[in-house]
Amino acid sequence: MAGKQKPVVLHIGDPIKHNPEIYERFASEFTVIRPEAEERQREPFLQALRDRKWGDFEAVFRPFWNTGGEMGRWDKELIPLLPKSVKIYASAGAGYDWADVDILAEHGILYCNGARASSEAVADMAIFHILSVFRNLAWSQLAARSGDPAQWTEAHKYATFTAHNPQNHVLGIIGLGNIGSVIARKASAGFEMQIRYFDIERKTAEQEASAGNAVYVATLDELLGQSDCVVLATPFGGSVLIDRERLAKFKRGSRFVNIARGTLVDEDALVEALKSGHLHAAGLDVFANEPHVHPELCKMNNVTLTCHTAGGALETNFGFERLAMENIEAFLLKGKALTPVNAHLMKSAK
Amino acid sequence: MAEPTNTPMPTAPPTPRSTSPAPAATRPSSTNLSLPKPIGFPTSALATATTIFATPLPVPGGPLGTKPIVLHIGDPIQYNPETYTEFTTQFDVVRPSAEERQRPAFMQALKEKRWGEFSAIFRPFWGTGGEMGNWDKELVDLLPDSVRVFASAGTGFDWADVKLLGERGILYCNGGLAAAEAVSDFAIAMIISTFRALPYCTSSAAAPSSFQTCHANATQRAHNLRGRVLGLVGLGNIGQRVAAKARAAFGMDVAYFDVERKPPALELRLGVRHTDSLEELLREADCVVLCTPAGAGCLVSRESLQWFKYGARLVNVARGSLVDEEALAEALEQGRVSCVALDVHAEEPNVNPRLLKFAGDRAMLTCHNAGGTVETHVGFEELAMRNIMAVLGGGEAVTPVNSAWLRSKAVS
Repeated sequence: MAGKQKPVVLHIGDPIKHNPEIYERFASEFTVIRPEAEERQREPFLQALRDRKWGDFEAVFRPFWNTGGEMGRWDKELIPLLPKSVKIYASAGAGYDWADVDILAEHGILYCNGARASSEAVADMAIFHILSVFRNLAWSQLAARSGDPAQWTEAHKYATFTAHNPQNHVLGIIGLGNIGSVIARKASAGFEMQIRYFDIERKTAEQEASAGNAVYVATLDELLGQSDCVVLATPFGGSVLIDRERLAKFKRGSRFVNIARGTLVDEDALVEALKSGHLHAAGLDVFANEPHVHPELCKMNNVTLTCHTAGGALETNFGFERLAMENIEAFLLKGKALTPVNAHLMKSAK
Repeated sequence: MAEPTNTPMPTAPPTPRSTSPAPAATRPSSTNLSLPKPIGFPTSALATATTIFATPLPVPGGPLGTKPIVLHIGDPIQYNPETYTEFTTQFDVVRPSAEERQRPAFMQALKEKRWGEFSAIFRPFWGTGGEMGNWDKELVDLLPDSVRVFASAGTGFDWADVKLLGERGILYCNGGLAAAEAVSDFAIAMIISTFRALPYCTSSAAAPSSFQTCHANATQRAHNLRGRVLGLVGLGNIGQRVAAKARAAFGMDVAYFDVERKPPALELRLGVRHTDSLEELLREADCVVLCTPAGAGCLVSRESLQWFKYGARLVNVARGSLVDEEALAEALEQGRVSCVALDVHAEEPNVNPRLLKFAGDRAMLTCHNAGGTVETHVGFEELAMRNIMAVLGGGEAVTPVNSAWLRSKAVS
């Protein structure tokens, strides 16, 4: 159609930084509108939507996780104010707890996350945590950092007696998605761990093969009972998954790593399981009430703590920015997005 | 030369002309005995033994011409009962008490030939068995000529003069192969820590403000490992496992330098690149990992630090003596080295105070735990036995470290 106007993209957040060539292409395909930071605060943002200030934009584009979230939660207050023309929201970030993706789906809006761009970084951090819980790294590190030769000597002599090689041990992955499958691949190829998984969706034989020959276990409780180390790699689904009852199902002396969401875990119960020795050690990147970490966890020498930095590598940021653009291009120009998370919740096709 | 009958020797060196390898199931008289033929065992030792044992001594190991004696220094066997059963079938194992293993008592016992003409020294654990201290000239000179192999737990052997042992005809076999899995796993954790600002991330969680600051800032300092250059100094048992894991799990570009160039087939299988000098390796590495024994000298010195790429990383899971810690601290202070991970230190159990200052920020410091797992301990015990069975059985040692200096005990 001659004179067809380019689709309008609402770019929330800072200007593009990492992928100038891709952005050049993107900006030639779409009309990009980028509200300033003040306009992105919740009240001005809601008002601008009511005023239809940005017209009939078709995509929301958030290239960074540390800017672009000023308007707060994308919920039942905000989403209905979006123009009917909006079809896709592509964002940085693996998690999307701050967006009601089901409500977006009800309004015909596909939400695309950035997990694929962060999976390498998150998986590398998961491997570090897995190694640290098998090898009593927290103890060794704390003892050396104390500067006290007596503590050093104690760790040197005794940390080894409960340390094991991950090799041939069972890694139980909860959630074999973008991130879980990369963790599985690394643990299998690099460390010869046996991979088992539980997921609400059974993966194909091909996916299982490429995820370190992951073996499906039919129930979560069974997976917990079989694993020498459990890794949590699912999005937050609205409620605690690892509660007191589930913790009791873990094999005695096993280990727990969480690089997903702290809200999935009952931290009081976790503390008890660690203190009792039911769990040997834990590696945690995420917490129920960040930036507050359960004080008991901070006192233990069998717990490795990081600051929700599992995805935090420069390459992740480059990847988030790029993947969000590519999702919008793929959907608006070719009809199929790359990394939608709520496709199964969409109402009628738009 | 026929062995003298009736001479109550604790164990006679088998005659070089024995042909049947049948192990002694009972303790036959010396004239009926056939023993496995050791390679090049001197008959002259028989004469020496006869002179020394004019009177019978209360030694284990049975009468003349039975099993070789193995001196087991350290605690009793714990992990490999089946191999140990095989071991005791082939050898008479003598295990001195902890008191006897203290240096003065130990040396005295050797002078008295209390344990007779033992053929092997077996140290299955690194936690016990070292009570006599360094195996230096003072100690080694007291060993009977019958000793042919010393197989020990532990990867490093700084406490044993292996060159001297070799010159005395004693093959020293270490446990590095049994520790390779554990050490390489630990090295990988350390490598990740240097790329992902982990000393900072693991020390900032305890307070909300530091958690938030770290969460916001760590990314700027952090990189994925994929495609980065890993520079391995030493491609032995441990270096090879580090290379394999860095490639398979992380897609790193792995280059190495070793005083001994490895065969092209190995380089191809591991997917590693060779560099001709330490300098060349250091100039291109994003992360340098030390995987050599202590004998390599000071590899990370004021001079060699000048070859490091600006902002490079260093991991040491080998020996503290390989690093000039003051020079390294200076490089960290100046930012020329961005992050280090050190499991070993020059003055263990003391950590260098200048390096300690970086502990919550750019230095991952641990307590010489890289080799330490249950599986390593199981492997040390097994490997030491296997080495001894191989050597005394006339075969090739599994993990000798001093073959280059080994003086053959051939009959002249």
